[in-house]
Amino acid sequence: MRRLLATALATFMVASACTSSTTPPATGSSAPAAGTPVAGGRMVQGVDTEITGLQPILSGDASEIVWGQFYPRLMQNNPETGILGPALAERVEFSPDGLTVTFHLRKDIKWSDGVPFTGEDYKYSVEATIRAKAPIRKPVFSRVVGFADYNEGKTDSISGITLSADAMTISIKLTGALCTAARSLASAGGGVLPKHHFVKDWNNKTTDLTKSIDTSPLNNAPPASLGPWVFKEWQKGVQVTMTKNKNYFRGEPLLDEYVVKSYANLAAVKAALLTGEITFGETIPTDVEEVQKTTTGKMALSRATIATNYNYLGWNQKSPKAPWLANKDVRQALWYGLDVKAIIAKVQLGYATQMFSHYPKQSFVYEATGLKTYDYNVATAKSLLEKAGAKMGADGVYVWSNGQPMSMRLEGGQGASALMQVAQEQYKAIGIKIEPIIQTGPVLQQRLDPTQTDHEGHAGGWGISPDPDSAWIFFNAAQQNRGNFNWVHYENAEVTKLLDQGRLGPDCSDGTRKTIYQQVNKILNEEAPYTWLWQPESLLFHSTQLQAFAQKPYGLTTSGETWDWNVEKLWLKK
Amino acid sequence: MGRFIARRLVQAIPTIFGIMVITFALTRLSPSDPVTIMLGNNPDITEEDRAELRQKLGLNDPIPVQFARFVGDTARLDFGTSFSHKRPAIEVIGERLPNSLQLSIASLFLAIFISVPLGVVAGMKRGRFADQAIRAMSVGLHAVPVFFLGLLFVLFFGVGLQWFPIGSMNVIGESCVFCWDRLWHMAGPVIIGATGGIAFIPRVLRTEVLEILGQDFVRTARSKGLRERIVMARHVFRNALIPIVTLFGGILTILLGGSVIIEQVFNWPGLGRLLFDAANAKDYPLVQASVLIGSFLLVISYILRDLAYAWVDPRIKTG
Repeated sequence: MRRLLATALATFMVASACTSSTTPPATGSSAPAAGTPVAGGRMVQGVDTEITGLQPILSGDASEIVWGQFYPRLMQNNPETGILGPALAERVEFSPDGLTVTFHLRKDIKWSDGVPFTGEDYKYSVEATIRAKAPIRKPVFSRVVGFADYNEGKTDSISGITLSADAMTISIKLTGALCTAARSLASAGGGVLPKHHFVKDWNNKTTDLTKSIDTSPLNNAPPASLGPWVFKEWQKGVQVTMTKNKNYFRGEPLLDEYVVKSYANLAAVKAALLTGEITFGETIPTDVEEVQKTTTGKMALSRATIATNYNYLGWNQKSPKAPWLANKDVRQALWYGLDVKAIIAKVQLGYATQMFSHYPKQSFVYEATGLKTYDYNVATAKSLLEKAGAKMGADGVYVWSNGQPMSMRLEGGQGASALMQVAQEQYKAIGIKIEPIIQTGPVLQQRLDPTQTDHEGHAGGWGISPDPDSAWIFFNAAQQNRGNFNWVHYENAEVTKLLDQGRLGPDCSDGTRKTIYQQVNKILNEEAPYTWLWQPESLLFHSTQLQAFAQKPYGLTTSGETWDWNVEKLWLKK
Repeated sequence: MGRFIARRLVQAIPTIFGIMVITFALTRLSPSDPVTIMLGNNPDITEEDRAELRQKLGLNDPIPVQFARFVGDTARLDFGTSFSHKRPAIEVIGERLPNSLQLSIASLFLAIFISVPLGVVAGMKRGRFADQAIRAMSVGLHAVPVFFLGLLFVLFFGVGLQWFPIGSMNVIGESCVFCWDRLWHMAGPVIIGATGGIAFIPRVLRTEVLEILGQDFVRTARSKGLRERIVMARHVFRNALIPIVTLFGGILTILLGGSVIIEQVFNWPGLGRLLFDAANAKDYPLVQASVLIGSFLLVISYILRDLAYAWVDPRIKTG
C-alpha cells in the first residue's frame, strides 16, 4: 500500500484572514502552451521542506519530491482519476483467488547509464527494503510469501517473488488477498533501485542480517535513474540539482536542469516568488493576491483541487464529557448548523471545494446520488437536537437528556484558529457552546490517540491515498489501538465489514470495490462521524516563461509520486 | 596555558553533564512519539511494526537506561543516528556547523568593528549630539526583536529594493565559499546578527571610557603633554577594552542562540535551522547532539575569552 501523505493537521492549510471573496471553482488548471517548444534551460522549484535523504527505502518524509525523480514505481496514478496506470510496468493482474499479483514490465526501458531495467532491480529493491535497519517501508511486504523467512535471515531470497526467464514478468504470491496490493507492491519500497550499482554495497543474496543497504554511500548520491532526471549535486540544506535523463522512457525532457531549493517556510517561498528567484512554488490563499499584484506578467497562478487532502471537524463518540456526540441526530445537527460555504469563502478565500463524505468527487468510487449536502439550516439543526432529546436551556444553550448543558471543547492547530472561531459563533446560534482550544500538532495528536477519550471535537485535515481503502484506517472499528487513526471512535459493523471486504477481497475488481465504497460513502455521509468541510486547492505560482505547466487533482507538484506526469514536456519560452 | 585550558575543560564537565540531563529530559518530556512521526498514517503498519521500530531505536527501554546509554555513547563521541536524516548525527551537524560559524564569527567581528568606535566616541563626546544619537540607536536596537529586524531587512532590501538576496548562501547553481556571491548572501544575516552587539557594546564601552577618562594616569599622561590621540589610544582605549573582552563570550552565546532565528529568517542552512527542524521532527539524536556541540563551543568560547582577557590585561595570569 502506498504510504499515505501527511500526518494529521500538518495539511491544515487554513488561512487566518477574514476577507471574503468569490473564487471560481477549480479542479485542475493548466497554462496553455504557446509557441513551439524549445529545449534547454533550468527550472527551480521552491519547497518549504528540507531534503533529508535520497534513498527511498530509508526516507519517509517529503524528500520523495527529489528521490521520486530517479526511482519511479512500477505503476503510477492517473493524474485525473487516481486510478493505477502503467509506468515501468505495462499492466498488472490479480489471479482469480486474489493471491497472486503479476506485473508485466515494459521491455524498452533503460537506466540513465544505459543498463536495461529488469525485474531483478525490483526484487533487489524489495529485499533491500525488508533487510533495512530502518524498517519504515518493510511492512508493505509483510503479506508476501517468504517475507518472514527472508526477514529473519533463514533464506537468501524471498520465495514469494519469482521472475520469468527474461526477468520481465514479476509474480508475487501473497499469504492472503489484499486489494491494495497492486498499488503497494508497485512501490518496491518507495521506488525501484538500480541493482547493478547498489549490489556492490549490499548483496541481497545473503542470510547475514548484520549487513544492510542503510550505510551505502550511494544512498545520498543516486548513481542511475529511471525517472526524468539524473542526480547531479546535493548541497545539504540548500538544494538538489538534477539534469535531464536522456533515456527517460516517456521521452527526453526538454529542460536541461531541475533544481529543488529548500526554504524555511512558505513565507520564504513567497519572497522567492516575488523576487523571481524560483520558477515555481506553492503559496497559501492569503498570499495569492499579493503575489498576483507584485508579479503581474511574470508569474501565473496554477490551481488544482487536491484530491488527496481534506479538512473536517471530528466528533468523539466515546467522549465522557459530551455523551450527545454518540447520537447521530446531534452529529447531523452539527453539520446543518455550520455554514460551510461561508466558511470556505471566509477562511479559504474560496480556494477550496466543499465535501460531503470521505471520498472526493475526483475518486472513481464517488457517487453524488444519495449523499446529503447538509445545506446550512439553523431550524433543521435545532429540530434534530430536540429530536435527539435536548431541551433549550434558559441561557440559550441546549441541555442534554442527562441534564448537562451542551458545551464542549473544539481543539485544533494554529492553522485552524479562524475556522474554530467561526464554528464557535455559528454553533452558538443553534444552542451549542463551543470552547476553541489551540494545541500544537504533537500535543493534539497525542490527545486524539484512540487510547484517549478525553476530548470532544477536533478540527483536522488528512492526506489520503488515491485508493479507496484510505477510509479503512479512519473508520474501521478495529482501528482504535495506540497509534491508530480512528480518533472519533466510530463503530459501525456494516462499515467495518464493507471496509474489510474492499481491502481483503477476494474480489478486487474495480466494479465490486466501487459498489462497496459507494455504500461506505453514503453511510458515512448519513452517520456524520465527521463534519466534512472542504478539499483545499494546491495554489502554485509559476514563471510565465514556463510552458505546459499544469496540475491535476492526483498530479500535483507537491507530491513526488505524481507530479512528473508531464514533466518531460515542460519548456521555457525565451 | 596548556594547564589552564585543561583545567577549564575539566571544570566544564559538570556543566556539560547538566546540559545533557536537561536536554535529554526535555526531549523525552515533550509530547508526541517520534515513531508515529517517522511512520505516519500508513495502514500497512501494525502496532507490532511500531513496537519493532521503537525497540530498534531503543525507545522501549526505561528512561534511566536510555539516559545511561546516551551518556556512555556521548563519552565515546557517538551521538547516534539521526531519525530523520538516517545518517550519523555528528555527520549532519558537521555539514552545518561551518555555515553557522561563518555567520556567528562574521557577526561578532562586524559588531566589534562598528560598536567599539561608537562606544569610544560616545564616551569622549559625553552629553553632546553624537553621544545622544548613539545612545538612542542603542536603545532602539535593543527594543526591536531580531526576527522583526530580519524580516524588515528581507522585505525592504531583498523583496523591495532587491539590493540583497532574500536568503540562502549562494545564487542557484553556485556553491563557492570564498567568493563575492557568498559575501553578498552573508550581508543580511551578518548585519542583523550583529545588531545585538551593536546595541550592547557601545553602552558598556561608553561607561568604561568615561570612568577611565577620570583616572589619575590619564591626567598624568595629559599633563606630560602627550597628544590627545595618543592618550586615547594608549591609555584609555586599551584599558576600556578589558571589560569588553569579558563580554565576548556572552556575545557569542547570544549569536549562536540567535542563529536559530536568523537562519530561519534568512534561509541559512546552519545549526540553528537544523536544530529547529530536528525538534519539530522529534529527532532525539540530532537535538541532543546539536545542543551538546553548541554547548561545547560556548565552553571553548569562554576559554578563549579568558585567554584574551589575560592578553589585554597582563596583570591577569592564566597559569
